[in-house]
Amino acid sequence: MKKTTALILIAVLTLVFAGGLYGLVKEVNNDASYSYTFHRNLEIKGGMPDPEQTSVDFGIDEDGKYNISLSWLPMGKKLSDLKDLQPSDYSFITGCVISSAEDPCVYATTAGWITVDTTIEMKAGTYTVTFYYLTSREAYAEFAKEFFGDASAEYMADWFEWDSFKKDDKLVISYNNSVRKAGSAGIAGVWLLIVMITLAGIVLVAVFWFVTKGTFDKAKYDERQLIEKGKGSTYALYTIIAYMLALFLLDAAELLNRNMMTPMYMGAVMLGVTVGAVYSIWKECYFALNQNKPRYILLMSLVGLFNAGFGIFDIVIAKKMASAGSPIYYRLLRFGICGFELAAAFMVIAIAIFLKHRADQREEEE
Amino acid sequence: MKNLKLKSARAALDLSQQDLADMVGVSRQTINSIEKGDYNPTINLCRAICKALGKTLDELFWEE
Repeated sequence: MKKTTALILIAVLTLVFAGGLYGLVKEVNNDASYSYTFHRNLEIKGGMPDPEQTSVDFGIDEDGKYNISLSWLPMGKKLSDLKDLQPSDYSFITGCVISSAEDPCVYATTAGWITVDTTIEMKAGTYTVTFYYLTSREAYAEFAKEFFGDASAEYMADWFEWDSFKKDDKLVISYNNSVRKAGSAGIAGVWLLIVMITLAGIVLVAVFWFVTKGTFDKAKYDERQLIEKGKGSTYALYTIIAYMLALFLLDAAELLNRNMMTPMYMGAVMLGVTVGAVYSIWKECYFALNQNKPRYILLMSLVGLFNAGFGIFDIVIAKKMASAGSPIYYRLLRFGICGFELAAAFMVIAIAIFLKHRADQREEEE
Repeated sequence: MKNLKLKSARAALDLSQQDLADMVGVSRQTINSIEKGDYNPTINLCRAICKALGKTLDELFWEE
C-alpha cells in the first residue's frame, strides 16, 4: 500500500471514529427522557430583584447525570424570541448556584442570553437554585471569588463596560432553567451503536477504495485541462469573494440572523466549490484522463444523498424542538441547513455531469 | 480559426476524436477544442498529433 493511500485511509478512519465517538457521547448524554423545567418571571426594581423570587427548590428522584441549562431573557422577550436575539440585546450576567442541605455549592455557573449547558452528576434529593444578579464588575468579582476562585474575577469584566443595565431599570426576566436526566442507551445500545458506526466506516472506506482504486494519487490531466482547471479555481475564488462581500454588506445593514451565520459561511465555500466544479465539468477537466467517471458519479451521488438525509433528519428534529419550546433548536437547524447545502452542491455537480454527457454525445454524433 | 486540416487528416484515417485523443494521451474535448480553434496546443502536443496522423507540423498547423 502506498504511503499516500495509507495516510488517506488513516484520515478517513480517524474521522469516522471521531464522528462515532461524538455520536456516542450525544446519544448517552442528551436523551431528555426525564426533564424538569421551570420558567421564572422575576421583576427587578431599582436594580434589585424581589428576594422571594430569587430561589426555587426542586427534587431529583434518581441518581445520575443531569443536563443543566441556564439563560435569561431581556425585557419584553419571549422564550421563542431567543433565536432572534442580537449582541445589542446583551444586558447583565446572571449567576446560578445549585445547593443542597449537604453541599452549599453543587454547581455554579454564569450566563447571558446564550444558554449555558452542562452535564453533572447529581444524587437523589432536594436542591435549591439561587439566582444572582451581577449588575456590576464588583458584583461579578464577588460571585467569582466565592464560587470560581480569584483567578476568574477579571474574566468577562468587559461585559460590564457596555453598561446597558441601569439601576432604575425595570426588567421582567423569564428564566429557562431545566434540569433533566441524561438518558442512557444501555450497554447493549452502546455496543449496537459502535457496531453500526464501524460498519458505516467500513462501507465508506470500501466505497472510497473502489472509486479511487489506482487513480487517486496518479490523476493525469492533459495540458488544456490543467489550464482550464486553473481558470475554474480562479472563478471559484471570485465567487467566494463576491459572496463574502454581499454577506458583509447585509450583516452591516443588520439584515441577517446571526444565529444562522454558520450555514451562511458554509454557503460561501459550497458556492465556490460548485462554481469551480461546474466550470471544470463543462470544460471537460473535472475528471482526470485515467479516472473512472461512473464510479466518481456514484460516490458523489451517495455523499449527496447522505447529506440530504442528515439535513432532513436534523431539520425535523429541530422543528420538534421548536414546537416543544426549546430555545436552542436553531443549533440543530444550522446542521440541517449545512447538510442541505452540501447535498445541493453535489446534486448540481451531478446534473452538470449529466448535461455535459448529453452535450458530448450530440457533439460526437455531429 | 478552425483547424480543418487536422479534422480532415483525422477523418482520412477514419479516426474519431476519441481515438486520436487516446493515441496522444489527451481528452476528446482537447482534440475538439483544437479542431474548433478554441485552444492552441503546445509544440509537444502538436508533435504528438502529427506523429499519430503521419503528417508534418507544416501540414497540420501552419496557416497559409
